[in-house]
Amino acid sequence: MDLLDAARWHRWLRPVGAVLLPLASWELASRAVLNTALIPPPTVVALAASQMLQSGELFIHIGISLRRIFVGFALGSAIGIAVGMLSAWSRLVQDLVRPLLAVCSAVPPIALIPLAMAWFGIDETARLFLITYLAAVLMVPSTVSGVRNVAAIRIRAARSLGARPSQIYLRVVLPDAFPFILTGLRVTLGFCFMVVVAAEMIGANSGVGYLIMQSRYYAMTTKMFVGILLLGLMGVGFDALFRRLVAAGLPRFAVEKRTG
Amino acid sequence: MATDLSPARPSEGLQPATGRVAARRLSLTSPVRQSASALLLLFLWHGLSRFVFEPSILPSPATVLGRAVDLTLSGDLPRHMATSLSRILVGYGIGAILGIAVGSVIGRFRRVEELLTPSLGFVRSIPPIAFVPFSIILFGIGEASKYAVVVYLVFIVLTLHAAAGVRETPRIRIRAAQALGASGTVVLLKVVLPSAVPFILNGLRVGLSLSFMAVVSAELIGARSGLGYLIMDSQTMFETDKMLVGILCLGILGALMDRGASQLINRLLGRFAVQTG
Repeated sequence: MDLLDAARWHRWLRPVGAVLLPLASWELASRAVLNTALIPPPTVVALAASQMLQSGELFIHIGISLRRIFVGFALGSAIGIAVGMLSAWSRLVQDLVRPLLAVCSAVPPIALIPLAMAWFGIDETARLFLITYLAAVLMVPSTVSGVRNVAAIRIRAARSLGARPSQIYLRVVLPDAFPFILTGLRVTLGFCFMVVVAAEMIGANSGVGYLIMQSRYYAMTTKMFVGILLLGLMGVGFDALFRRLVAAGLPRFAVEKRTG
Repeated sequence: MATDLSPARPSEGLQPATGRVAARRLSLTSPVRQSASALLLLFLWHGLSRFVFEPSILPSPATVLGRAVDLTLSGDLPRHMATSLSRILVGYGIGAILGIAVGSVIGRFRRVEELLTPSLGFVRSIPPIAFVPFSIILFGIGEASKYAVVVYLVFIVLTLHAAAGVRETPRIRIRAAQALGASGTVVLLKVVLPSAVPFILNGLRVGLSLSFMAVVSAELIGARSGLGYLIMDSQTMFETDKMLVGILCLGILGALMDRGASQLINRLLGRFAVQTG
């Protein structure tokens, strides 16, 4: 009996409950207790979302935000990984990079948005610079710690078998460091996402962040909620996508599955 | 961090330091070389501001330092710093207490946790800055809206961490306590909560750096004081030197807080590892 109950719980009661229960209590709270103009109920938000989907407004904002994230992320992490590899390889590079990196990683990236706007104006370059910078700064330490984590015995084994330094780097160090780099990429993507939204809120005229900010001026909380929830979906989606990609393409390096 | 939904086990961050050739290579860097390269960096900055960029784009280090001294003497900088700090500390304190309390309760009841964790995780993956306009609509442009953003964020982080900590209590310890005749409250106070402490401490550290970021974003978007406001204000007036003062102050403040918190937490973690190990 207990077994059956547990099976039913896991198969559909839990997932359905986890979605319906919070939504239902939100709906109820918004209609019965709170002000629907301030906190619109989920049904109203869903309606607004479907209208914005039909008019295509939502797709434009999503597309623009996504492009900003991915271009900057790709460019920045490529730079970051390269610099990280170099600085793990040569002490000179490392000594040069370290103080700069210490300053950069201490400053919250969101605080740099006004600076980027002062440098590049309100156009696309400012956002691209910001995301590229952020991804690069975040990827250097995770690449370095990946290379650090390479087991000495494997390097020694390769060396005693007569491998050249370049071979050791490509066949031993890089594969060993790869899981760290992947974890770093995942964290970096999350940060890029956050900073793109912030940059769009502070100085842009398109993108999901702009959508939220624009709704504020007209106090259209419904539209604002569409934007906020959309960000949640995008965040969860990115993470799932990343895990899926890792699991599909690189089973050897798959992110460890966590229980619960 | 922003999209990492599941609180990590505190031990995952620690890496064994033995037998790693590369690690030894990296730790060999001398402080002399690093300060030399920091100096080089300053010279580079100076050279760039002198010969390449206009001072309105990149003011020289000396200009920025002078501006920092001016702002400190006039009392502006200390005032903005104090405002930001008090926002962080008040919001962080309230959020942490609420989060630990709610999280501990949620973690005790497995099904409640299973029902709530997905939506908490979903909400957690929304960048905190997105809530700033909403918070301003709800609570006005004053202090309350800033506290609300920080409280909300820290609350979510600590709820997730505390719940995970309580949930991950080794069952054998609970059973041992029960077998020795401990009552429900004794099990909770003496077994479950101490086991959750490393998770909660980890959550406190994550929450601190996030609350720092949340305050800055709230101040950038809608505030009349605080370091974020100082930076945003200098952007509208094109005072790049003042902006850099604000940015560097944030960096120093953030690094100091992070380091202080990490040391404190590591000390506590060490103690708890001994006690519960």
